[in-house]
Amino acid sequence: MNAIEIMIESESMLLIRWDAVIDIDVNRQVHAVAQGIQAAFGDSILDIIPTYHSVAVIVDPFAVSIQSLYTAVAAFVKTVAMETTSPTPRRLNIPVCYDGADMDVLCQYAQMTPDEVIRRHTAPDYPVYMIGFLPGFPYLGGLDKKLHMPRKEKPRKVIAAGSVGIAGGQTGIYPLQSPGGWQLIGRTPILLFDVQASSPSRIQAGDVVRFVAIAKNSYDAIEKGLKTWDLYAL
Amino acid sequence: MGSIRVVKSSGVITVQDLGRFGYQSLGVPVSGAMDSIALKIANRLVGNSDDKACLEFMLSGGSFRFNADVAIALTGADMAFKINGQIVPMYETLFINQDDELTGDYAKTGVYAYMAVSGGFDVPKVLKSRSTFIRGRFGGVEGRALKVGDQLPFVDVEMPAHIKMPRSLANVPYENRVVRFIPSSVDREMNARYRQIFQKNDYCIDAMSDRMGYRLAGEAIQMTGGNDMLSAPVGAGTIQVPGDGQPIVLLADRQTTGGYRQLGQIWAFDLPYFVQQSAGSCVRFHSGELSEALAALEAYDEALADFFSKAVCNHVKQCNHVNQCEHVKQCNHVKNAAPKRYRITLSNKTYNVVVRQLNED
Repeated sequence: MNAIEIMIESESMLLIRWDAVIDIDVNRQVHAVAQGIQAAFGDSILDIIPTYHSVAVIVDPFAVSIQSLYTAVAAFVKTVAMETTSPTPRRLNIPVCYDGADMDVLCQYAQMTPDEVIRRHTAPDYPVYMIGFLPGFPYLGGLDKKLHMPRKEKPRKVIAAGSVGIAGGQTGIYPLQSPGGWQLIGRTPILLFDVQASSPSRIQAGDVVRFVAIAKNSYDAIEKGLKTWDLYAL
Repeated sequence: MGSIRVVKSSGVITVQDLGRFGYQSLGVPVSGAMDSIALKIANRLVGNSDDKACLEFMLSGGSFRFNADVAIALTGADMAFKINGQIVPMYETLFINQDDELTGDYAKTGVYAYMAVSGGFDVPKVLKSRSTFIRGRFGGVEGRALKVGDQLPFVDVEMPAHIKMPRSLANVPYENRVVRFIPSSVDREMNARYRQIFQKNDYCIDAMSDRMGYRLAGEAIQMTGGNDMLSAPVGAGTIQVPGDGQPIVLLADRQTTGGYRQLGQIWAFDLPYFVQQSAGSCVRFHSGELSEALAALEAYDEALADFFSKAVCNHVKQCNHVNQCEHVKQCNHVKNAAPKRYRITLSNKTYNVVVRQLNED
C-alpha cells in the first residue's frame, strides 16, 4: 500500500491523501478507503469526496468533533487491508452517436478519418477516477494519445446534456446542459444524471466506462424510449 | 396551507436551507445559505428546527403578500424591511396577518438577508434538500431565483412564542475582524511565504463574486512551480489561488473539487462576516489554529442555545408559572400570547393596531 497521510483541514473536513499522481492503483485504494469509511462512519459524517489521490470526509462541526473523527479514521485506515477490499469495478457500456459538431475539426487536427477516431475512442476501458466539475461529470483516464486535442479557444455557451468531448488528454461526457470548451465528437441518448432519481448519477467513481458506437437511428430510438439499452450488459 | 406570493422581485431571491449534503461524491454542490448562522437564527426565532427552508435575499428584499396568518423572522443584512409600510425589527418573531405585505429595500449593511416562516417553506426536496442550485437548475422553485407571481406554500404549524434577540448577541458574527483561516495541510511549509503575502496585504472583494465564490483583488500570489495541482476536495471557505495570483474563496455553490493550489480554509465562525462583505470591501486575513476556530464556533453556538432555551422558558413562566422547559406544551397561552396586528380605517385615516393579550393572572 502506498503511503497515506491523514490531516484535519478545517472544523468540518478531514483529508486522507496519497501521493499526488494519476495512477489507477492509487485511485483504487482511494475508492476502497472511501467506501470503507462510508460503511463504518456513514451515520456520523455528512459527505465524502473521493478524488484521484485523496478522500475528504465532511462532518457537521456542531454535531461531530473533527478531532475524534480523526482518531477513529486513522485507526480504521490502518486496519483496512485495501488490496483485498478493493471491489471488482462495475463496467458500463455507453452508447454514443459520433456525429459531434467538432468531429471534422478533430479529424483534421489528428490527421485521421472519422472511422479511425471512432475506432480509437471506443477501444479503451476508461477508469472513472472521480466525479466532479459538474454533477455526474466523470473524470476518465486512458484516452488514446492520438486523440489528444486542446480545448476550444472560445467555450460554447450551451453544450447539450449527453455530449461526449475531448479536452487535452481527457475525454468526458456532459451529464447536464452546461457551457464548456470541450471538442464535441458525439452524444449519448442515455440520461446519465437525474436529480429526481434516488441514485442520481448512473456513473460513479471507481467504475470502468466503455463507449459503443451507435447509428443515428439507434440514437433516436433509444432517446424516444423505443429501444432499450442495458448500460451494464457484459 | 398558507402561502406567500412574490409581488416584486429585485436582486436574487432563492429558497435555501442548510445545504444538500451526501452527494458530493457525485459532483453535486452543497449550496444552502451563504450565511448559515443567520438562517439558523431566523428558524429558531419562529420555533423551527435549524434545517427548515428560508428565503435568501441577495442585496435586495423584493415585495411579498401573505395569504395566511403566520410568524416570520428576518435576519442577516439590513434591508429596511417593512410590513404594510411600517419598518419592522430584525432578529425578532413577527406575527403576520393574512393580506399583509412585506417589502425590503436595497441592503444598507451586508449582502444576504433571510426570512424564516413558522413551519418552513414547503417546496419539493431534491436530493434531500430544498436549497436552490441555479447553475444546475434544480432545488428551490424550479431551480431558479423567485420571480413575480410565484406562490410559495409553507407548512401550517401553531404560532410560536414571541422571541426578541438582543442586538448584542445577534451582532457577534458580524463584528469587525481579521478573517482567520486554517492553513492547508498540503505544502504547509512551502506555502508559508505565500501566506505571508496574503496576510500582509488588503484583499478586496471583486464585483465578479457570487454564491459560488468571492474573487479577491490584491497583491498577486505567484507560486513557484505554478498554481495548478491535481484536483482535490474543497469546502465552504477554501481559499484557492489560480494562475493570475488573485485568490478566490469558495462558497455555497462551489464545485466539489478544485485544481488550484489552496492556502487554507476560512474559520466557520468567520464565514458569516466574510460573506456579508459587499463587493469593493477590503478584508485582512490571518492564519489561526484549529483549536481556536473550534472554540469560537462552540462558544457562539452555546450562547445561542442558552439564549433560545431561556427565551422559551421565560415565555412559559410569564403565562403559566411553569418553570421547566419540558412543559412548554402545557402552556396553552403561548399561542394566544402572540400579538395580533390589525389595520383599522377611521375617518379615512388608516391605523396599524397591535393587540397583545395580557396574562390572565
